[in-house]
Amino acid sequence: MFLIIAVGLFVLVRLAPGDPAETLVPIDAAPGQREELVKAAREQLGLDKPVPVQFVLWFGSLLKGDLGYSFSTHQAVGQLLLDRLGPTVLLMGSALVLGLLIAIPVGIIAAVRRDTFVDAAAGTVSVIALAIPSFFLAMLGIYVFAVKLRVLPSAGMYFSGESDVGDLLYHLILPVSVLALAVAAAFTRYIRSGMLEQLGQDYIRAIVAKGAGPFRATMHAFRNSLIPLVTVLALYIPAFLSGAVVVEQIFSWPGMGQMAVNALIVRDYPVITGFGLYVAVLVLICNLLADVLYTVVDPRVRTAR
Amino acid sequence: MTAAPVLSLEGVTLDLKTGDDYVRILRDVTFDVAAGEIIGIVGESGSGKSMTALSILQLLPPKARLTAARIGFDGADLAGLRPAELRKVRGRRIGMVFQDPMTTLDPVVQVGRQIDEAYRIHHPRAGRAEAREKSLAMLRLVGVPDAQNRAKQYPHQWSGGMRQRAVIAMALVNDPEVILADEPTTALDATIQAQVLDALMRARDELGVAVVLITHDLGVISQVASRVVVMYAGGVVEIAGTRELFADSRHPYSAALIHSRPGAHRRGEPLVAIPGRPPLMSDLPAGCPFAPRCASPYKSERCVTQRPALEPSVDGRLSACHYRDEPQEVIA
Repeated sequence: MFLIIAVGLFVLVRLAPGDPAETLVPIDAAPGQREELVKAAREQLGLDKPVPVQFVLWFGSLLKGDLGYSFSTHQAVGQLLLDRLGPTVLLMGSALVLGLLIAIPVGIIAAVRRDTFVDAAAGTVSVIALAIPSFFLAMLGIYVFAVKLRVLPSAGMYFSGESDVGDLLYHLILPVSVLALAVAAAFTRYIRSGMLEQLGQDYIRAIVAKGAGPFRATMHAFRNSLIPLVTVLALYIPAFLSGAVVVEQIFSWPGMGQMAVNALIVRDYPVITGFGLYVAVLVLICNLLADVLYTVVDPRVRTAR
Repeated sequence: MTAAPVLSLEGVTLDLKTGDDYVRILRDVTFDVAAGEIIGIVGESGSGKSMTALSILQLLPPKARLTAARIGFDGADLAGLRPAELRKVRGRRIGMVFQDPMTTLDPVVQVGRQIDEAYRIHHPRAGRAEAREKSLAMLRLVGVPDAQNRAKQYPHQWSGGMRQRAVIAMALVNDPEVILADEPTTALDATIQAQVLDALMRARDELGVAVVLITHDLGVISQVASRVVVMYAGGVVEIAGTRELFADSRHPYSAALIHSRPGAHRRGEPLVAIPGRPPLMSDLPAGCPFAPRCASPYKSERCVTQRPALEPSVDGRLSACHYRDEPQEVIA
């Protein structure tokens, strides 16, 4: 599985138009010199060898845990990914948690109070939030809170290189809010529809017949609605942890998404393939995690002892 | 009936909203349940049997409108109770067993836990151990073997018949006065049916609980019920002791129902069905709702124009037929 992904990634990246060596050589180099510089760069990067040879070399070092070095910055790709992972996990994790913290109660209430004003309001807000592109919301946020009100920073993680938790939280507010809104909007709908399905089940009526109040009945329904939610989350988390390309770019957040975009622009093959591998591994891990979670939330999946 | 009724329905009428209109699903349903008796409610699908049971505990769909002269239970009127008071009756003093045991239990909660929960809802100060002890006692009463270990399993690990016993145990755990059993054996294999009925009878014998047994199966009724309420098109058409009903029913619908049982025929004879179909609840005839299908030789113009009320006959039998005093067996 991993080998297929590795081969696919490697070939696809190299099939893409553009030559990384070209982008490394200054455009204003003298015409005669330029050709030679490009050739030298190509040799230095190992791009003069045939693609299969390149692959074997790359894959060999990959097995030793070496993802190669960035063409443009010459940093080790593994280190680069690790450096970017922290900020992305922080940003995306906070957004995901915050979004779910909003979506779960709102979705449950919308389902329980179906067809009331609360439900309609939640539905309308979530449609609007889903319809607004995140870049627009991000720029709106910057305009209102950073430019006009001057209460929040517009970009970056820290003010001036120093790492201070309060400072970091301060910088997180805007990007996290923008991303959390999208998460909340999407998951409110998932949770509402999942809850509606469960609330209509016979066992809920049976629980009410036992004398349970509305809260207890709702909790039973919620517990059951987690089963389909695990599937959605397993698909959602890898996409999320690979970074929000647009939002990271707008807020100059030094995360995965920003790194990937920059690498693509300069055809930084090792970084692109490294990023691709990271996403692939993430998908695999999340699917594995989902399978494990199923056995936690759904006793029917547990194998018979 | 001699004993004072534990539950008495008086004029229960239910309207269900379908589209923009309300359709009358139950009309003036009236009957008593005596303490410790097993009373059957029979009728075809759609005759309002289940809705009657749901009305008692008000487990109705949100678009239902219930009007009742009175649903008397222990001096109170269930139809007029506030939700919090109703909750103290549900599961505590009136238990409910539903038709399909495959969907009645929460699939992600251990069976024992669900029975514990029924107990702990009404005994908030009871500990886990106490609740489990009660649950296990009830599971044993309804005939679940190895209750202690099986209680820790999930519903999908239980067979249909076993699950229905669990549901019955759940309904019994608070020692209620009445159990409403809505087609408790319909979803089960014929071989399992008898065992589940047996569990209900044992509950009655040992705990003295009254059982309202809703079914369309006259065979089940004849086995366990002492009295029968026959329903047709949302109304009660006859109430009689089981033996009297089978020997000498006083309503042409009951008579036809009894006659259409497979057991009523000799081998090789074709089975008899009641011709026609029940009327649409939204389009009931002005007279007797059974008149269009009625094969009674007494049928007259009066049956089409005037709806008969549920009244006693000269020998004290309750029937909603204008000709309740005439012998009915001639129909067959």
